Amino acid sequence: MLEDERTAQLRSNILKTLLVIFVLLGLSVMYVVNLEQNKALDNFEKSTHEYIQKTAKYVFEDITKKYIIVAYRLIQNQNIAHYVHTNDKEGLYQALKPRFEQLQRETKYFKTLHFIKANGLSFLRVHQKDKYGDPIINDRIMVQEIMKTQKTLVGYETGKYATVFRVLVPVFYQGEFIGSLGIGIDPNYIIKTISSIVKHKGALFIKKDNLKLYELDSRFDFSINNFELYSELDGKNLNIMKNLPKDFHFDGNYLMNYQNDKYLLYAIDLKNFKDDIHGKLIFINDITYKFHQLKNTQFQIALILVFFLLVVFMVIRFLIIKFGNELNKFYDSIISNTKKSETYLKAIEDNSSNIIVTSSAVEKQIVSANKRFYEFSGFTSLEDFQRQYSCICDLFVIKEGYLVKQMGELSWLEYILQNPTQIHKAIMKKGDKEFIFKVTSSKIDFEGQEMLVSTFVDITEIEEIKNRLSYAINGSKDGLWDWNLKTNEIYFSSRWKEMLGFTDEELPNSLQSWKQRVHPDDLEKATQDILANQNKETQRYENIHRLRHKDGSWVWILDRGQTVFDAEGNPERMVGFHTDITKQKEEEKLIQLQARRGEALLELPNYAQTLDEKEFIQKGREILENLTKSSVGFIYFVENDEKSLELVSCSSKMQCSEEVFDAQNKASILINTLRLKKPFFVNDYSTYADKMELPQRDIGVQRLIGTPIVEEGKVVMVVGVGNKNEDYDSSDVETLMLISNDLWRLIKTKRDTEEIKQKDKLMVSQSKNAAMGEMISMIAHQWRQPLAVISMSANNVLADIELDMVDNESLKESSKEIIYQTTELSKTIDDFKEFFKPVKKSELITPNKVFSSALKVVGKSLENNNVKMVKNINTAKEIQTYSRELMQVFLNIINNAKEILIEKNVPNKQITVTMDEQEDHVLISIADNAGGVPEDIIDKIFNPYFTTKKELNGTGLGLYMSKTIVEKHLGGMLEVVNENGGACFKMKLPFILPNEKKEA
Amino acid sequence: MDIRELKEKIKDLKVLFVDDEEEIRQGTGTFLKKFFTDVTICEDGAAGLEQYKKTPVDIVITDVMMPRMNGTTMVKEIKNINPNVFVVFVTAYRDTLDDDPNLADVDIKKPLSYEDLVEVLKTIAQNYSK
Repeated sequence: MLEDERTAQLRSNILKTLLVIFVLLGLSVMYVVNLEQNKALDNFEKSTHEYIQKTAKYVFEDITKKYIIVAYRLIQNQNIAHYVHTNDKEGLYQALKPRFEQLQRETKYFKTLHFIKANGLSFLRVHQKDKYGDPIINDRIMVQEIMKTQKTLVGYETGKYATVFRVLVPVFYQGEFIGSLGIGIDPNYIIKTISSIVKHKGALFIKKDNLKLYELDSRFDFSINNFELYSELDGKNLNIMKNLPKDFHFDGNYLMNYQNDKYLLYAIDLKNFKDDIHGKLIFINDITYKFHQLKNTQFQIALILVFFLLVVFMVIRFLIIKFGNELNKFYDSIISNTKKSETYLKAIEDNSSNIIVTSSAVEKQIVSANKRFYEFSGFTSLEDFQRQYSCICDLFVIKEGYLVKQMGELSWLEYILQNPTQIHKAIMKKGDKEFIFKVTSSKIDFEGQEMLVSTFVDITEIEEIKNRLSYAINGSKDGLWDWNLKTNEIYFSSRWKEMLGFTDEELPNSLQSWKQRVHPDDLEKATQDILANQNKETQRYENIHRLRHKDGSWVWILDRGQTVFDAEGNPERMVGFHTDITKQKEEEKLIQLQARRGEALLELPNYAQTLDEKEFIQKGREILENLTKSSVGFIYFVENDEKSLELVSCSSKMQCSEEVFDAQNKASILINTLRLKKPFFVNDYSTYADKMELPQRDIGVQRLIGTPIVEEGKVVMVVGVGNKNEDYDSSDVETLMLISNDLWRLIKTKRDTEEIKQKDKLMVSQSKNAAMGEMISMIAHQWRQPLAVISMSANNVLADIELDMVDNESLKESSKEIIYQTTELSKTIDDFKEFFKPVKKSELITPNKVFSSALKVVGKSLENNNVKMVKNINTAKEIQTYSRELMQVFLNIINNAKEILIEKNVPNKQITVTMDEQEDHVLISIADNAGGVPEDIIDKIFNPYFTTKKELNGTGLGLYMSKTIVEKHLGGMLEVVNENGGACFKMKLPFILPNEKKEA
Repeated sequence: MDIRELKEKIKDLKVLFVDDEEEIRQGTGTFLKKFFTDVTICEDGAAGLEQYKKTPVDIVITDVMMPRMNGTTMVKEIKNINPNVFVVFVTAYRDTLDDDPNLADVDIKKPLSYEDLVEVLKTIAQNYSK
């Protein structure tokens, strides 16, 4: 009993306790549920607002991008700059109109297209063609701004007639700012676009201050707290707006009740180009349904609670044990609704290719991570990861310049948050490979808890490319340039600048840096080539031009590049490389110079031969002026005293005078050269005299180079040139020395040759005289007899007269005799005339025939001197030869033989001529029996001026001339030997003359 | 002196004329025959010497340069026979007489002028009138 009582008492106690517990539990559950509901609603508001904000941001960015591109393309494609430059308003209108209409077809909210000139006056409103010339600058701060900065501006702006979302782009003509092109988009476009995404109605409010300019009436005449409604809004929503409190703050979200319905209002900022608030967008979200949903949830919870209490009551023991778990489940079901958005977010996170990690703000411990994190780190779950680490930063590879767990005083997360503008990078390893990540972190409020969301973007490849590119650009010998044709911005690599002697900082990245340094002679062609490439006339841009180095010298640049075109085929940017080819250019120049020098050196001997000395020196000076690109020049001979100068050649422009270069006159720097015996060059001749403390001379000479020609330690000639267009250098001096020395050599050779020529001339005339003498003597022989007969006939007639013995018969006889003899005389003359007749052409003739002709002339002389001629002719070969010259040789040798025979008074004087045919020539020997040539002179008898003859006609040239004729003209050979008691001249005559053989 | 008187004085002197030239022999022979009655003509030195040996003469007129035997050789031979013979050289070249300037009484140069010939005849006349 007692037992039962106790049990009953205990039970009632337990039940009482349980009941109290249940009531308390029930109350607390209700409280918690309510709290969670509020929280869920709050979250809902927040996330929705965030969504709207993000959407708005994207839409803004999208529109901004889109219309900046539209503006640039209009500028490039429609050649706006050209029309503006030429002030061709109509042309511009016609060019822009089709595009404007097309843009309006795309969206009716495309409102305005307006070109404003650099002076701030409206040039053309495509949307309102007739209105122009009005000053825009006074009212529109964006226009004021772009005139100052000449940079693209984007933002909301309210003008006289409308509030628009405006894009304003600067326009340049040949680098000069000539105005700006503005595009205006109706703000309703943005509202509509955002609404279509977020499914909430929107309204536009403009700050009252900004509407001061606006001349038209506000359409809705509704304003609240300094903002005025500026968009279409239906009645219901307008009414909602009108129910807003007068101090509505236009900030974040606002929950309001209107006619039993609940509405959430979200405000979005509209900003002008300065990022100041210009107006607001309000989106109205009807959340009545959402409220009902929440209420339903509450009701469901109450039912579940009752059911739960019943079940608990029935299976109390189990309930007590499993109370916690059931509550958890219960809780889960309550908040499942709110969890939906979280799952949604999670899906986005997991689908991201970036690692996203959430950490608690306080402990910095990882609380969640996306799929990519596990893929990268190799852990299967958060628990798996947490078994080893607590922070993702434990995976960071320690490296200078990259994030590590502890950044000085701060943890890595705090460091990121405190340096938001900086780019943070971290390295993490996957296997052995290091990956570089760009890390961003932001603080979010998650379910009342501060959380840190960190995003790791894999930039390994970008970094590698960046490194490679940077290496390629800065490690390369070539200098890179990258020219944005739309913004006219240009980038020059440090190597580009280094080529010109500048460090990266010294030379600004602007087109002027290049333009100002281009050689004036090269600029036009280079500009042409660049434009040709941009206009697609050439596939590649290539140009060689000179750029002024920092030190003032010229650097030869091979510039190669290519234009990059956008999708519409308009030039977008131009990229190229500079290659320093100064060395090659110099080498090329040197090779060219050497070639020209070589040419000159080859030319000079020809001139030396054809021109007389003065003309030749004149020519030499001209060649020198040419080679050194000089406009003046002079050449002086220096007398043996090394003081007196003789002006030989001087260009007319120079006005050289003997006086100027008088050795006594110390003013001349040329005299210094003469004294120093060294070449010199002066590139500032006008001040040179001053520097040398010499009086000013040679007016008009700016640059001068000179060189002495030294022979056996003495200056013999001074050569100079001057007034090249640019400075002289050592290569010019080299040219001058080289050519001058050759000039002098040729002058000397020429003089020597002249001397030999004179000698030859003398010899020829002497030998001619000798030949003439011989001829006369031969004529004398021929004529002696006829003359004797004639004179005797005359004598007989005279005797007859004196003796009175005259009779007709004897007179007749004497006359006939005289007439006969005179015909003999004239025959002799004809024979000799024949011999003297110049025959230039060779002929085909037997040597014997020539010899017989010679005998006709000399025969009488031999007869008179009792010289017997014996002929052994064993050939009838006709040879190609100059018969006249051969005859002269025959006569010469026969006469020599005859003379030596007479001189030595040899008994049975005899000359034997033998002719034989051999291989390709005829061998002729003419031998006498006068004892031969003494051995001591036999080697000399062919020398000119050598003679043994004592008589008048012995010039010593006969045999020299004979040898010359046979060997040089007839292509044969002539020599002398002693044989058979006399001298024997042996002559070989070829069948064909050597020069004719070539022709044959 | 009249030329006819001259002829009278010398016409009986015997003359030997030697020359290797046919036309000279003819021309000069004709001239000599106008003044001398007895003129013998030979074509060279050898023939002249032979003729002299056969028929000696008072006057020898000869060319110098001749084949076979020249004038000087012939004169030397003749002078060996009769040193008093009167000799006239008719030359073209003076130098051929250089070895013995006294060999000839007179020498004249070709071609012979009338004055030269008359002078020679006068010399002969003077020589034989002593």
